[in-house]
Amino acid sequence: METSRPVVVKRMPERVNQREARKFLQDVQPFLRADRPQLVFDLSQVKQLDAAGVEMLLHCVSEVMKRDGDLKLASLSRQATMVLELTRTDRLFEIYESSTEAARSFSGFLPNAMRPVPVYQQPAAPTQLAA
Amino acid sequence: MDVRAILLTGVAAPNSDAAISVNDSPELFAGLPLALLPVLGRPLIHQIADRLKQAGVDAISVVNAADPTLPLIEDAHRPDLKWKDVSSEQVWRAAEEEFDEVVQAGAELVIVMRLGPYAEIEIDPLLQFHLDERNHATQVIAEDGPIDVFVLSGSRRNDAAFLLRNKLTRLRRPAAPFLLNGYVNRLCTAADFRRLVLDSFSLKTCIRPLGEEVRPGIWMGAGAKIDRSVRLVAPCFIGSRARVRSGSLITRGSSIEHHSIVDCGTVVEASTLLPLSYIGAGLDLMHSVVGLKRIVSVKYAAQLEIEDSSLVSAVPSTSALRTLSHAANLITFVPRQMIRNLIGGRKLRKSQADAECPPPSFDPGVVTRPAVQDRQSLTSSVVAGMREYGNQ
Repeated sequence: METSRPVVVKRMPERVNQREARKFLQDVQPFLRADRPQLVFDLSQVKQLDAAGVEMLLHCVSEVMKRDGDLKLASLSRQATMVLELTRTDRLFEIYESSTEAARSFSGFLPNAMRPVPVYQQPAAPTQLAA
Repeated sequence: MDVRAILLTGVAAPNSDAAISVNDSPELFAGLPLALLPVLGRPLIHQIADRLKQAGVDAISVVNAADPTLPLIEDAHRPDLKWKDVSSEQVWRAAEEEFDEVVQAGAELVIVMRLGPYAEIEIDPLLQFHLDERNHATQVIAEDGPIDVFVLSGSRRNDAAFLLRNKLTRLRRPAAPFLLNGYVNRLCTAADFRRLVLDSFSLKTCIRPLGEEVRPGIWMGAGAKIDRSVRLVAPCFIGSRARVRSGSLITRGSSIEHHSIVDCGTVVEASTLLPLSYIGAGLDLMHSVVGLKRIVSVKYAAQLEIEDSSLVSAVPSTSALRTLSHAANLITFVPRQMIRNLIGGRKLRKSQADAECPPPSFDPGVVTRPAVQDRQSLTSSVVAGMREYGNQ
């Protein structure tokens, strides 16, 4: 499972609108075209993420998949989490608490570093809901 | 020391008065005990048996009260497990007879487990505790209450008979219980079953996926076929000879058990597909357990039996039948598509005409939402459009 290929960590800008997304895509394009790319996008600074940003993420993941690589997300800000959940694109990515852990996850599975899956709970009884 | 074990399956929890029925019983999925279902490639009963064997248990007998004709029960059989199918009325009597048999065969200590709950018990400390305390029968207790695991001395047949006749609810003589520190899952509902899968992925249990870790957190069984366009997000497990067709997404701790099929463009999120299950194209399966033609939603704690084979169906259990089925599907694919498009197109045109010319008595205040029949049918092109974002 050990890998010697480099892991590229890229921090996404604060606002990811159409213009910024295009610029960001140009920056990461060489890494996307590498053989079996291993990429981590750090979304800690993202305050605004629109449809163009989500589309750019989808484009990146499809590019890395074509080359048998992977793209992981790390340090999601609350705003980024909300948009990714709203567009149901969060499930397309492995999401880690920090970039370091995301980078480490390329060489071995780190279950504790992943964003936890929601815990299942029995739904409350109707009377409790009414109360 | 000769230690043997008796595992009881398909037996209702002693404190529940309800008789075992197919639907809505705790610890069952479509009449099948959850303990007989596979978790990450292997039936849970095999995981338990292997732990017992590793701890030095010489022989393991299984007394099964679940219907032996149910699918997937065969999977749980194994040559090294002495298997006895009995009716639910006869199960305690059969357990008593089995106890007598193992004692006759030389067992000094007998572990009796009702599955039921999944518990990771350190067997050596348990046996040592039983001997040190000079108990006739020792019950295992977890933090949240007792579990149906007992150690019985072979020489104390009366204590064993008393315990089994009282359906594991009462000991003949009070004895100090053994406090369990390991992992326990009550396995009462499908939610518990899913939690067990997730806990296994996150290394909280000793259960490990049966397959090769092809990428960190992605395990694949032998002969699994995954289309190149499929996105697998760790952690996930694809069982042996399972098929995941193009454009699908398997994510968030999902487990596709052996010989299951995920059709094109379907998203499987935080769900389990039981063995020999088929899930149709363009679906969005979330927080559920699917198998035996039914879906149990963990999120809504609801169960749904599905007749429509284009959504959920069962894959034939024998390889010959599977080959025949695939061949028939292949041969009839083009004619079926032609008929479907023909009928779908007619229905669509009819519904559009209805919408344009409402009946004279039409009152817009009465209609709050469109009737189901008027919705556009899920043709493959519509599904492809819906799923487009997931396919990229």
